[in-house]
Amino acid sequence: MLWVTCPNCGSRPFEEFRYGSIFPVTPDDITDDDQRNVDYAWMQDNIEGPVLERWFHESGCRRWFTAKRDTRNDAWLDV
Amino acid sequence: MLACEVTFERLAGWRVIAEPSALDTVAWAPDATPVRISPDDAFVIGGPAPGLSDPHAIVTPEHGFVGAALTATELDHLATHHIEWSLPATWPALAQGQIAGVPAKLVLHADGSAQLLVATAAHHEMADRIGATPATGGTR
Repeated sequence: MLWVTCPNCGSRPFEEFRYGSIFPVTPDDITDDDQRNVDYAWMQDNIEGPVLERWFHESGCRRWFTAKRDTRNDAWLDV
Repeated sequence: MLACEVTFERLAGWRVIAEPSALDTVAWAPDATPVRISPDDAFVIGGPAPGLSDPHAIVTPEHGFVGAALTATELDHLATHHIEWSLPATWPALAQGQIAGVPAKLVLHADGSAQLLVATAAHHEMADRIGATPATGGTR
């Protein structure tokens, strides 16, 4: 089972959380404002490896937080 | 089922949303029990409306929780049979997460007892799952 560590509540089973997608990071080489907005909203990368993600602790403190997960092995990394 | 009968009671208090620094330094009333849900959010059971240093703080009556007092034995039974995660190592503490599959909070006291808090809307389900008695009546 995947366990997620909430910064307020501690380690909890992932069923307590809502996954909020990958934290959008727009590449610096996209400079046009409209293109940056499109990239931010729609261009989701399917990264194999460490990735920043947003999680919502729905059954606990009900707060959003950002976590870093290695998608290859579900290991949590320091943000 | 719990080893002893547990009864939920409706709780009246205050919901306080404010800057974390303001919540860190507020002087709670002696008859109030603050439950720090997150750095910027607290549920205060009982007492008068707290005054905070944050001019943008939101303080509003909160009637959305029910609570049940648990003895150390009842808490141990609950933790063994209905809680998947580990309780904090040091008490007093607040633990939040699913209990019997229902979002809940545990206010853990230093003497080993605890208060189980559940959203009013979900407490009938919780009571059914752990064998407790639901709250009756209202607070208003």
